[in-house]
Amino acid sequence: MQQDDASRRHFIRNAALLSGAAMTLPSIGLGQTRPDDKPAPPATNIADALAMPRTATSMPGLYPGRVANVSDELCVREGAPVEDRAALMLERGMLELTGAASLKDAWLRFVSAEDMIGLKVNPVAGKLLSTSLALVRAVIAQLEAAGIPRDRIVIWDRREFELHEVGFTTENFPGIHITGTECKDAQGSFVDANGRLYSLDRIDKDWFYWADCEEPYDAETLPYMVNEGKHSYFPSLLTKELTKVINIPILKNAGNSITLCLKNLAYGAVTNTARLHKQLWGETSAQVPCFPPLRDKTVLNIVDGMIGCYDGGPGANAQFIVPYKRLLLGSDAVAVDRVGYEIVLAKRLAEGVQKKESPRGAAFLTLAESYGLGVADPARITRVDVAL
Amino acid sequence: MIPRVVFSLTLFLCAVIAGAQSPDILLTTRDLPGWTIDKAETYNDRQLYGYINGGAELYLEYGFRQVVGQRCSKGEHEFMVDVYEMVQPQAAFGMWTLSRRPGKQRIPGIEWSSMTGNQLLFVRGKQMVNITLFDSRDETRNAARSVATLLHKRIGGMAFRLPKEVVSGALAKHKDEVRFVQGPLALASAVSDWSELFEGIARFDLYHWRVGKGASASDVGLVTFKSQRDVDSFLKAAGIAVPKAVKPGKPSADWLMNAAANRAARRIDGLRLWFVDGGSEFKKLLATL
Repeated sequence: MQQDDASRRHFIRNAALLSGAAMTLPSIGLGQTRPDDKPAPPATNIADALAMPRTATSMPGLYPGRVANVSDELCVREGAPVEDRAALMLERGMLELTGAASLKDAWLRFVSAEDMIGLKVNPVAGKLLSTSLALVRAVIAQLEAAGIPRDRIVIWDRREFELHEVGFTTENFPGIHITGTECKDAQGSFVDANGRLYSLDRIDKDWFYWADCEEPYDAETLPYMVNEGKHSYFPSLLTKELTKVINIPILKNAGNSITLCLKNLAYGAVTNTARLHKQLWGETSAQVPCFPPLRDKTVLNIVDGMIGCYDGGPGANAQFIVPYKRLLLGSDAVAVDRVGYEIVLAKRLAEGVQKKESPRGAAFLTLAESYGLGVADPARITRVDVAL
Repeated sequence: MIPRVVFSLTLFLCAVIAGAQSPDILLTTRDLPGWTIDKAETYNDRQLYGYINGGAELYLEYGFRQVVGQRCSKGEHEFMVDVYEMVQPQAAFGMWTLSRRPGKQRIPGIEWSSMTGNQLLFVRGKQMVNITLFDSRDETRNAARSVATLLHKRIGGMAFRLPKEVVSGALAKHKDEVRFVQGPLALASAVSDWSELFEGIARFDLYHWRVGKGASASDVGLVTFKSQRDVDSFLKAAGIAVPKAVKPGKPSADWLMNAAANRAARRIDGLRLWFVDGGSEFKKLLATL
């Protein structure tokens, strides 16, 4: 759903009205685990997001609490995902998730030929641990088979050059637009002749996540953060061009937690994120997807778990990269994250990385559930396990 | 005349300083005949987000200076050599202990190293070297090993001197599993179960061992805090009451206990203490440490 001018103005007005209220909102979820004498985390403008009217496509979407977990022993060969097996897993997962009679029908429950569809991948860990080209090719092929023209599909992430580095190039994906907020010119420069960041032309300052914390960036870091201050801006691609988002993260850990659907949307969309990691890691993951550009457009999540990691994430540390040999699918990002969290946690416990679950590991999911983004309680999640 | 001497001396010093900036870590085709060695890419602490997005914070927490990356390839064979220079040897050692998979095979001839099918990793002085293989063929593995041996020799320099409690005594046989942690992010990666115990403590030196197997393993820490306030905060979070008779800063012969949680601490000296947390080895460790 593209925001019209009226709703944009509504958002800005609400932001002005509610930012003061946000300052006094208690921190829930993660804050509950803090001892009483510890300071509350910085305030944010989450109240602004929660005040925005929901739409028919708002998260958790068509299938709240339902997750298809498709595994296939043959999907990784010589350390690399196998494209035809990825396609089979994807097909089976779409049918199990939706209960549709045909694959075309399954896809068309989420998107139509009129949509501009963004495939939100995750290339941040480089070639070793990126959303696989094999899975993205399978997604595109099945979208095309469902009648979606290639020119209505965009592969995107925050960093355009990282997309290119891992193989999301026009050579590998002819006819598909590939773009990111943070970008360089042909000479490798982040700035134009006047010293202005190209990225500034790719953000929408009407849409932002505000948090009462900031961090100054030096000249080298700024191009990767785009702006300083207390605002993290959404990309204009998302707010103005895309009408639907298919989220395709990787099955990997982030410390004793995970970095799957919610984090791929949150940290993978907005600018100025370094300031958020230390004080608002979990809050950011749960709160940024509450804003309409993500909440109302992200209709499907497909976790690439053919190859993932259980330690060293979200970066790539080869010693901890493992073939999980599975895909997780769901419209409910919170439920998919919960299932993924349990898979990663089980591996961490088995490998002795952790002795027991940390109460903080899944706290951001509980927080996300409290915002109405999806189902975090395992008892209320329907997990459909399929082995090919 | 004098200015010219000063100028020449300055040039000489600059050359010496430049020479001291680890030029030996740069690989050339002479080091690996028949292979293509790409031009090195160097990223300093301010550029790290551009190189290892998603993992930069951990390096910065330990204290990071620069990373030099070089790609080596020969036909379909390919591996990447990253030499991370940290601000001090302890930082490099800490990063290495978090980056390696405990209990794995060592690179022959390199003490603080680990080796798996697609990665060679070692620490030497202020440098941590990470060689990532993009294929698992023998020729690639052999070339990567020769590069590891070569760089280990070239980097040379002072090896990090570990505390005597790490290299001798009851835990010496577990030294291949030790992890060295200095801040909250590393703690969350290495011993996430302890994150709440260190809540609000920004810097500390922690050597951590996991003794035993699986969920019944005991966690052991040798911790050096920066202040008595941090010691008090830690003990309080661990549920360990300190009797008034125990004076701050003085070694304690007896373990201070949280019997209900199977947690115990004993001050070694100053702001250093042992901490043992649960598991099947709990009593044995209290008796031997």
